[in-house]
Amino acid sequence: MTIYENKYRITYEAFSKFSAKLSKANDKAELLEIVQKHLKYFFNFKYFRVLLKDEVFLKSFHVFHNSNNSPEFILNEFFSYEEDLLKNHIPIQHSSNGEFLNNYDQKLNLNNGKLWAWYFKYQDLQLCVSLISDDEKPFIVRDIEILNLLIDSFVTKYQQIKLKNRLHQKNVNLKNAINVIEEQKFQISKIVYNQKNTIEQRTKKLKDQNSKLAEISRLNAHNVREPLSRILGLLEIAELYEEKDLKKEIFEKIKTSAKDLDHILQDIIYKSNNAIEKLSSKTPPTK
Amino acid sequence: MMPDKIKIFLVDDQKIANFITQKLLQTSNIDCEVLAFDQPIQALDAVEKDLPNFIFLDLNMPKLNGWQFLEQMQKNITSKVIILTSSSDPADVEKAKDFPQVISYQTKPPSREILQELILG
Repeated sequence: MTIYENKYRITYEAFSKFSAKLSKANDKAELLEIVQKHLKYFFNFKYFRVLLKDEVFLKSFHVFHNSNNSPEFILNEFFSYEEDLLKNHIPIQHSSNGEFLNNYDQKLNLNNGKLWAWYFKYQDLQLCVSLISDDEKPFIVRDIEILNLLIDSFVTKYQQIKLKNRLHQKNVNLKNAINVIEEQKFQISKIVYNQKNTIEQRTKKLKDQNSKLAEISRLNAHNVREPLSRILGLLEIAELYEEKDLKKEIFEKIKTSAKDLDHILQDIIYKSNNAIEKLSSKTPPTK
Repeated sequence: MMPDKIKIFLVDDQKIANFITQKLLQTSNIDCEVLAFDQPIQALDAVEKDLPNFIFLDLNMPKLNGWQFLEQMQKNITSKVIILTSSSDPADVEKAKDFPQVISYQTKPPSREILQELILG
């Protein structure tokens, strides 16, 4: 067994452990932490960096070989070689003293440093993966194979988490929408209930008014009929009288009854007018 | 033996109404004695004393209406009552059936034929 074969056996074992951990990652922070912890078992590096560009964001994270700080995504930070790489997609391999990292505290102490960088594309996601190695931590061409595997797994998990987050957000939105609908449903049922009550009250009021009016009209009919029945009766018996007695016995009584009838009718007309005025004053005035 | 004259009471607050009924009775070939009351309370007292055969009773009267009159005379009086009213309200016709002494419900003015039929049978 050559030294390379032995190395790769160990590397693939490390990768299978990495895959197992990765499958349990719940969010992006956990994902980056797992990458950081396992990276050193895959290949040698002094500095490792991934820049991601999707339809909305440009973000990156990096790992210093001598730092245990948890990696975090940094928004809108990129280096000039990454800009070139995003444009022309040509892998980079040249000597570097890592001066573009001078803003960071970690010292790389490079001994014949070398910058490697590759361009990856997955559907709507572009990546620039780069690393700095040196003679102390040499990266070799054969390591690219495991690096490809690493990036594949990383991207798969990254997209999965992104989808999960989106789904979660959609669920939250949906729940909010359902709450709004429930609230509106409640409001509507309240309105319907109130309207039902109002209608019932108005119906009852109308029924009461109707029965009152019916009672009034019944009384009116009766009151009118009383003197009228007298007049009819007097006419009936009028034929029994001599002409000379008619005036005294019958006509006077007809006159009295007719006057009674007239009074009753005038009273009814007066009351009806009042009732009509009352009803029409309740409706709002029209302009 | 001559039978007693048929005694008839008219109870109506309208004098003219009593006048008409009285005239119709007198010209109906009914041998009867007619007493007219325009005060129902007085009629009620007289009923107890004179025990008329028939009472023509109006319903719509002040102080004591026809129904109250019937309730107060109900106990021991055998007089037959004919309700004579200007109202043809079905509710009143129904209510009249609650009083066993009421033999008929007539609306004004009464016809001579019906009077004969009611009194002579």
